[in-house]
Amino acid sequence: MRLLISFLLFIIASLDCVSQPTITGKITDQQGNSLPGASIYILNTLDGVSANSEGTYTLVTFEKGNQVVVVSSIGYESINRSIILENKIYTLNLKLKEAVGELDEVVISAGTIEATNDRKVAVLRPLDIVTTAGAAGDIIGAIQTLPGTTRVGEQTGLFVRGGDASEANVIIDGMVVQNFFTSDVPGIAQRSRFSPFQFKGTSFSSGGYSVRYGQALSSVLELSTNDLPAKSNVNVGLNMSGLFGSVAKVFGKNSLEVTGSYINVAPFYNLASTNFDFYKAPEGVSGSMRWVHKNGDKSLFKLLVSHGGFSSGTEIPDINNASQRFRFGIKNSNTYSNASYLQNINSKLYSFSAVSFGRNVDDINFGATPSKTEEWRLQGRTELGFEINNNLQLLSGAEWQRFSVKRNFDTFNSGFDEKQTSIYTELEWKPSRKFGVKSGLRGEHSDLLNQFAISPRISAAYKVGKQSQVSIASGVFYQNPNNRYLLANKLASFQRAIHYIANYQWITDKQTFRVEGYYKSYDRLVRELNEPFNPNAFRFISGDIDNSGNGFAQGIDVFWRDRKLVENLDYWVSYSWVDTQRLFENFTTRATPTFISDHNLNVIAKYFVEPLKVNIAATYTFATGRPYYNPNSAEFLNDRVPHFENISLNISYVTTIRKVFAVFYAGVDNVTNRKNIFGYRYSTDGVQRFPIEPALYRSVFVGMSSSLSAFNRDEL
Amino acid sequence: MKKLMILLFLVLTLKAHAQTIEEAIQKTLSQFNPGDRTATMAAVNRFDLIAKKWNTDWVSHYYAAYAKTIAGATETDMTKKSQFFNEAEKSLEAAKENGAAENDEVYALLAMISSNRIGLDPEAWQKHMEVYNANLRKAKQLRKENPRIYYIEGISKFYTPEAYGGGKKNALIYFEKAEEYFKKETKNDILKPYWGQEHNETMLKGCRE
Repeated sequence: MRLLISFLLFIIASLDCVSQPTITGKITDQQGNSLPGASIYILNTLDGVSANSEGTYTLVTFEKGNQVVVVSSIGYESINRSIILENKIYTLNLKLKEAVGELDEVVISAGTIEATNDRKVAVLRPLDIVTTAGAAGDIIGAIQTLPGTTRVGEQTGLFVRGGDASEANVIIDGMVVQNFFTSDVPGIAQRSRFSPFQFKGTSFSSGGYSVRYGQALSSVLELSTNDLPAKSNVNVGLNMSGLFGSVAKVFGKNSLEVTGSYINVAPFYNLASTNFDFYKAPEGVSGSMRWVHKNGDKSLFKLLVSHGGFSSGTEIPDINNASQRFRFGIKNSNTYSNASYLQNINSKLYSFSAVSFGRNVDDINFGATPSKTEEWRLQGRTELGFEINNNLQLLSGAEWQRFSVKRNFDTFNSGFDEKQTSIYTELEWKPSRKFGVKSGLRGEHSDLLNQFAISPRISAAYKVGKQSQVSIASGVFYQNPNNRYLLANKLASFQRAIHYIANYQWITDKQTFRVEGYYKSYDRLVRELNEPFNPNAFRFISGDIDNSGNGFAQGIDVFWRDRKLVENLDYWVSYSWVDTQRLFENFTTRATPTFISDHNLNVIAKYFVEPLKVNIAATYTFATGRPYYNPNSAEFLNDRVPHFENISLNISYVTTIRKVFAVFYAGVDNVTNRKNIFGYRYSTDGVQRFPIEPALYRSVFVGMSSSLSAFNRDEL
Repeated sequence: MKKLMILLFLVLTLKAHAQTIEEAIQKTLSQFNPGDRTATMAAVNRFDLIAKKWNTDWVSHYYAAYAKTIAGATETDMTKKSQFFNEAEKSLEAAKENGAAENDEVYALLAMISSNRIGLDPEAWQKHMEVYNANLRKAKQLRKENPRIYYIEGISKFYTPEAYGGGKKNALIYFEKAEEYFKKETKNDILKPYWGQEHNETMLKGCRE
């Protein structure tokens, strides 16, 4: 009986089969690889099957007549096929096309390297900036390892593609930061005032940047501050240069963050052998307050207010007499505030507005001469972004700035007051996922110079492969004459640079290759008339100036990053070659300026030793010798100092002690204690020469930071 | 022979019988086996069909999202993983639009997806953590007795390195809390999701070892 039942059931089942429409076949991708798990179903019914591990399927259905068979697989474009179903067996083999994802969309990126978490694939992540050895947790230190930059150890600022420090602007949340760096001490490069942990994104443009910004002949470093913290937390840090603490409290859509720090560099300087005598090590106190309100994707408001001050005393080589030293004492007070509001009015329209105010006062004792510099900057920006249609996007805005610098040097008083107004508009057109163009116009007016200029800019990118793209960019950039001339009440017109950039980039989630070539022409550069060359940056400007200077810079930047080769190893190599000459300021002929190294190489490696929870990082820097001024040489700026070389090591250990997350770190800069030389200074008679040395050779830095996230058992 | 006739009748009626959403979900769930890729994919596809048929019922989209989340979590290919999570989030969007905008299960599952994304894209952990926390907060706000909230928190802690406040010991309290709520949960209505207890017990054991 049992046998009979089974047999009958079998008969019923097989009868069933032939009495029903049956579709069978194989699902593959374009290359013919089978797609197991693909879904094959009759539209608007529950009749469906999945392809097996060989990609084949058999779909038996009750449906008859005009039907639609749908084949889909995650990551592929679905196919719909109309079919008239009868009690027959149909064979349907289909090839699916890969769906285009985020990875496949072109990104208009010539001239820019971004460190962001917002994109799935990025050249760098914010954390990479913080963990670069030798950068000592300074954003600029890390940026200086990127292609296109030169590290100039005795001068403060960012030197990009043949440009000097004044040609690069730093922007925070859309606003120019006038005193991004700690106040200058002649001969010692200063750190930035801002902690890298407060930024979620860094976008470094070494040329061809957007019309949103102006007044920078070579480069813009754009930083965006964090949004809402993930959780309320308390952070405490301690290192050889001070103490740091912060408290962040999240209240739903709002957060309040308060920070405070005490800086005293004495322990650090005491351990290192310094070339300069710090008779008063830098010491200071600062604090900040930050408010963030985030209403989902609708709006984001940020307010930052910070205030701080420091004082220091350094015995530095006398600027006027190379064989002597004198005491340089400084007392600084700095205030910075920034408020910005981003609102997504609807899915097509957004507005962004920001205001910021910064003030900086330096009380300086220049040897026996008292000097005081007081500067402030107030600015506002408002802009609208509008998505005209799927492939057309419009951005328009206006910017207004007023800034003033006043300097009293002994009994000489000087100063200027400038108002700048700019308007800009930019159209981004992406007719396909493979091709995009961004073109814009910026008009800027200077009240002080009584001049208006229009800068057109354009950039385009084309996706040549799944992971690769080529891009180009070009633009015109204007900038006021250097403050040193404006302070002396010597006015000239805008200086000008024109950039041409071509870039090839290949990027996967583990590897990046990027090569960029550029040509930059400079004209209308400021020149001092009838002046002999004087290498003193603090020289007194008394003669007339005009815009007869000019120059060029050309070069190739290469970047390679790999996280695939060895597990837990991340390394990148950046190399820049630059060829530049200019006739400007008090140069007597066209020459390569003293802040240029023709070849620059940086190798950065980070290795995580998983079982020990230890991170090891190393940075190697090599730069060919820079030109220096030799009054005895027949040719102007033709001599070169020996090459620069530096190795830094960093080690950090991550642990949790109870509920406290802690990082301990130690770093050594200039491991080999190499005696790098930045240049030479000559005695007035030109007989004696003195090397320009870094403030420190080998130095050691040790510290820790810990954080406690709010943990409430009731929350559990 | 009479027996046979009854059987024959039964077979035929079963074939012709239109399924309800409960039956469809129940049947697919019972065949769902995360350890078997073919079965997992079959469930993912099946739930998608169910979601298309009963597309105004949030729970159909919820289960489609659930299957995709599990499929993503057990997938080894990084790109595919991320695609599964994208699809799961789309299904949860559909669930929200169909009456579950204020449903704790939806937010708990969204949190589970974000927590999985951390493993996928560790460098952007802060961003995913933010979404994870926001969704968990919302789920707790809506119904803090939902055991899956604590189960998901436990899983997330379990896979966080000890140095960052994770590990077995730190995860245990969450699994215990989940256990407590799982025991109180009535498991008779498939339209009110109740998955997770079995795996929670496995994890509990693992943590206590």
